[in-house]
Amino acid sequence: MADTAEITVLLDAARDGDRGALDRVLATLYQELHTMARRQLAGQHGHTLDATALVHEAYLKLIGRREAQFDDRAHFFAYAASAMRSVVVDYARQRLAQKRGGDLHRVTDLPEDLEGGVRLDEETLGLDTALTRLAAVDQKLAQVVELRYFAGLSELEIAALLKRSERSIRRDWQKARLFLLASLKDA
Amino acid sequence: MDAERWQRLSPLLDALFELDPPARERRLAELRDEDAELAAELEALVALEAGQEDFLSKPAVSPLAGLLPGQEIGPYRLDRQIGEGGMGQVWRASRADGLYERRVALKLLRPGLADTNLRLHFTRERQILARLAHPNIARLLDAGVTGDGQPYLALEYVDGRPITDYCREHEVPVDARLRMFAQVCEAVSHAHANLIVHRDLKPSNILVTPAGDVRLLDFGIAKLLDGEPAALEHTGTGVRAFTLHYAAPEQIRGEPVSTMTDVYSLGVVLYELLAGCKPYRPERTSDAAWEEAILTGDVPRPSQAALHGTDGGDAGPSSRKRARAISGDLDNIVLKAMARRPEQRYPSVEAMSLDLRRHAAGRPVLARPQSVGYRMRKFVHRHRWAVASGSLVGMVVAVALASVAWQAREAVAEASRAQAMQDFMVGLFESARGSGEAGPLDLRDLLDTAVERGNRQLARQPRARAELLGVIARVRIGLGDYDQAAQLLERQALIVDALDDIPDGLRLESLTQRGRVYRLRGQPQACIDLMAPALRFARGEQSQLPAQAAEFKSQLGRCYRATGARQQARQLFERSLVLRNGADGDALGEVENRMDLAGLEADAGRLQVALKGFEDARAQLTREVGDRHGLMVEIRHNLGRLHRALGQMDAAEREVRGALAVALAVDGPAHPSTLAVRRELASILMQRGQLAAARIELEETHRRLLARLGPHHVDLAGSHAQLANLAHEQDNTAAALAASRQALAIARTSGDPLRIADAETSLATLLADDRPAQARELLLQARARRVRALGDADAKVAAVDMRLGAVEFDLGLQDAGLARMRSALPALNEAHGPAHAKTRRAMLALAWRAALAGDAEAATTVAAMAQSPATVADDDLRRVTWRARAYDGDLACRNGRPDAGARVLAVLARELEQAQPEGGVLRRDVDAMQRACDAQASRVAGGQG
Repeated sequence: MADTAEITVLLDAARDGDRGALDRVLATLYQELHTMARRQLAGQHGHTLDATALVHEAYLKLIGRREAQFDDRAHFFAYAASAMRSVVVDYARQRLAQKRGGDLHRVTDLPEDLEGGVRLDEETLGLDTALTRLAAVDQKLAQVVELRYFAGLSELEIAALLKRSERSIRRDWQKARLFLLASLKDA
Repeated sequence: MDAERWQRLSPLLDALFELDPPARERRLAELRDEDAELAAELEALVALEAGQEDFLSKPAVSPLAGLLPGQEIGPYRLDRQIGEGGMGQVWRASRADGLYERRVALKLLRPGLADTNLRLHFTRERQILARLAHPNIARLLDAGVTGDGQPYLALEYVDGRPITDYCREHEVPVDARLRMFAQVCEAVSHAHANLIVHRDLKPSNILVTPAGDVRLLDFGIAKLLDGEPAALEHTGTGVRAFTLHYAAPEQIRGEPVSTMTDVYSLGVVLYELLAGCKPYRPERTSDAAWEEAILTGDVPRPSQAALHGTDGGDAGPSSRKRARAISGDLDNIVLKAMARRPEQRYPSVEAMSLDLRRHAAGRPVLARPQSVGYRMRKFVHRHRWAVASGSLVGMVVAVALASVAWQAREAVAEASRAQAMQDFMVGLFESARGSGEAGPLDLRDLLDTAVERGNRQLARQPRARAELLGVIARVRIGLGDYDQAAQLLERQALIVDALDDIPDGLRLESLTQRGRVYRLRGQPQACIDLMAPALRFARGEQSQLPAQAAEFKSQLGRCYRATGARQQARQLFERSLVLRNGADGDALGEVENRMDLAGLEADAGRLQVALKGFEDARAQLTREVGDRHGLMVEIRHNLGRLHRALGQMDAAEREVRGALAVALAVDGPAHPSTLAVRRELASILMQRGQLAAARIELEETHRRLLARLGPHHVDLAGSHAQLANLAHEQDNTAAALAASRQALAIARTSGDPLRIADAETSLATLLADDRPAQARELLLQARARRVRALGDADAKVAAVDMRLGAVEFDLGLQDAGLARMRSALPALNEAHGPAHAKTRRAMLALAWRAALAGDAEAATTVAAMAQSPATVADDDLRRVTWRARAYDGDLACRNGRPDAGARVLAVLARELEQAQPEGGVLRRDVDAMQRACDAQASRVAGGQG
């Protein structure tokens, strides 16, 4: 696990519009999250989150809380997903500002190095807004979106986490998508 | 979408999603009845999803990053990550079920831009790898998709170091490095033979196991050459699949890649292996700097780079030793592989590998195609062939390779066939070398064998056969075997006409060579008939195939020139020159263009300009290639002719002897161009009165021509004509007439009117003294032919008129004869100038006869011409002056001053004895005049006494 300083630097860079840094920082996060989620699936669940065993100080820094005080895993994950969302959105916002002529030089210097990922730009911002609206109307759905889209968990993993059926998660996901599509269309 | 709407719609959606599609429809129908507006909204909402399957389908950032050791992917368990490349991650893994102990390299492709692309890509890599089964290529063991939808490829795990690191760490000596590299070439070649281009060759993809075996990895972005969906080519901005440092210029520019792209990358790897450092070292290490370096930067020779060490410091003894081992051939091989333009590289990895093998065996490498001299030196050094000249051998190889080089531009799927063709030719050649003593004829046997072999081995590949025929035909032409070449080209034409998918270059070449052979066999009109209709086609090809189009135009131009159509010829030559100037590096082609244009100037009578043109061509040839080249023969021969026409006999003899020397060395004694030069020499010698020497040359020439061509060949006509001239000078009238008649007979069969006219004129000259009436017939016919071909203002018509007038005069038609001669003189004057021997000879002939007819002024003219300085360098002019003196004396004799006349003639006779010790027509004439003069004198004396 990378050390604090490195994570901090990466985080700043990510929020600043560096896609590579974003990828790396989130990759780190993903690794952790997915391990945890997988263990959950495999049945090693049960108790309260063993913060010290599980999370590293740097990791906490990443998600913005120094002490791990989560009611349960679900809470933790939700928080993590939300943190990831904020990093991604900051990144997208920064890129947009650059494109719009903040620092033209830098925009040409840093093509968005996609390397297999998704283009994160104004659409991401639109999505963020739509997601906020969804959260205001149906918190449950918004959470599924965050977990699925920003934290990258699979439907199965989310189901295990939230202690619901995979099918209901899938349905929520479908509904959420419709809402977002409609919302984006209206925008 | 606001909160309120959502509150209403959400539960409805829940309900709908519970149902299967038919039930869903029913529910919607029900809803429509209940609340149409609501139903419509619902439907609209649901419809939003149509075409939006991708929406949010992939997480914002790749979840692939979440892989960890111990994780299971399909039947494998991840061990540790061993790489992360442009397209995904590679992990060392083993089978989770413990079925086999084998370690694999598990390749996991990261999610791409769109799922469909991902699938396609992976399937393709699987297809590619399935085709390859080679000991030096990491094998594909398994492939699949996990439950999560993660596709994977399981490859043979190679425990090894990148080849460059390995060689450095183990301090592997140069020849061992080359052997390893040869293994790499073999592997890549195998892929190419299966029509696969790797596209990402670099040291980290070329591993060496602890046992020292080479393994090639990662055909991840390899390209299948036989058809492929275009979608995969667009990787979008900012995504580069290949590694920049080893990328070929065309890859960077996004142009189509080919097997030569792999050649380039291998060249870079070889560079590193030999020099110990990368070829490019841009100052900044950004992508842009690398791109620029690769596209435009200069590559230092590997030996130089090795010398300066990896840190640019001073050379140590080991560096120097290494640099010495590399410098020369290896340098050239590497640089050729790394040529910026694909067609200048090796056409195949196999070719590069062969060259490396040649280097190892001490044989000449092909990495220096331009230097004929270099190749010849090596051949002469290594082989004791009795072949007349090393350049023939070199020419075979050069022609074979040149014919493949243009193929390099063709659709890459043909690369393997081109390779096969080249290997065929080279192999043929290699096998020939092994056969000990070989004389010039053995080369021809070899060529026949090649044709046979081609027919057998390439029975199912008509295109390759067509090419082979073309290659061999060109060699035949080079050897002077025009008939055989014509046959081969006819066979080639059959194939070319029958097939549709013949590449344009081959089609063009076929036409060009066929036309050329027509001309060489004396049928320029046939050449024009064949090639002129295809000129538009050639023009159309000139941007793609400038070299072939230029050659086409040059050859067609030469045919036009041979028929006297100078304007068309000039246009074509000039256009060819433009094309060759544009393409880069066809220096020899340019030399030929210069020669052609200079030849036109000579035809038009602008001899000084022509002279300069040929001198320029000579300078360029010497500069580019050196003196010992077939073209030099032609250039010097032409220079000789021009000097001769300008009356500069010393220079003429010098140039022609020089041409003969080169011809003997380069083409051998039996080659047509050697013979042509020899005849020119003979002609010059004759002109200078060295009859015996001239005869030797002529007879040698004639013998060779006869042996090669048989008695009825058109080229023999000229030889006969010259023998006739010589015999005439030597006072062997019978022989002279026989030879002249034979020349005429051959000329008649050729059908070439100008040739016939020349022969008729020559024969007439011989007959003029004894049978003037017959001579007149012949001259009238010759005149008619020349008028038809050249128009009546042409100098050649005037020339024949001169003779005709003289004969008519001698037949007693004095006025008519004189009139004809008078009307012809201006044209000659204009064509050659008043000081030229031809003009003056004509003037003299006219003046003398006019004087005989009683024209006193004419007699004065004769006397004046007799006074011209006798020490002029121009042999012809000197002869004219001598003749003028003879006529002067003769006139004196006839006009009542026999003593004076006799004196003049005696002085002249003595001089001629010195100058033409071997005798000649002039001496005989003077002799006759002396006798007549003596008779006259005694008559007078008798009358008086």
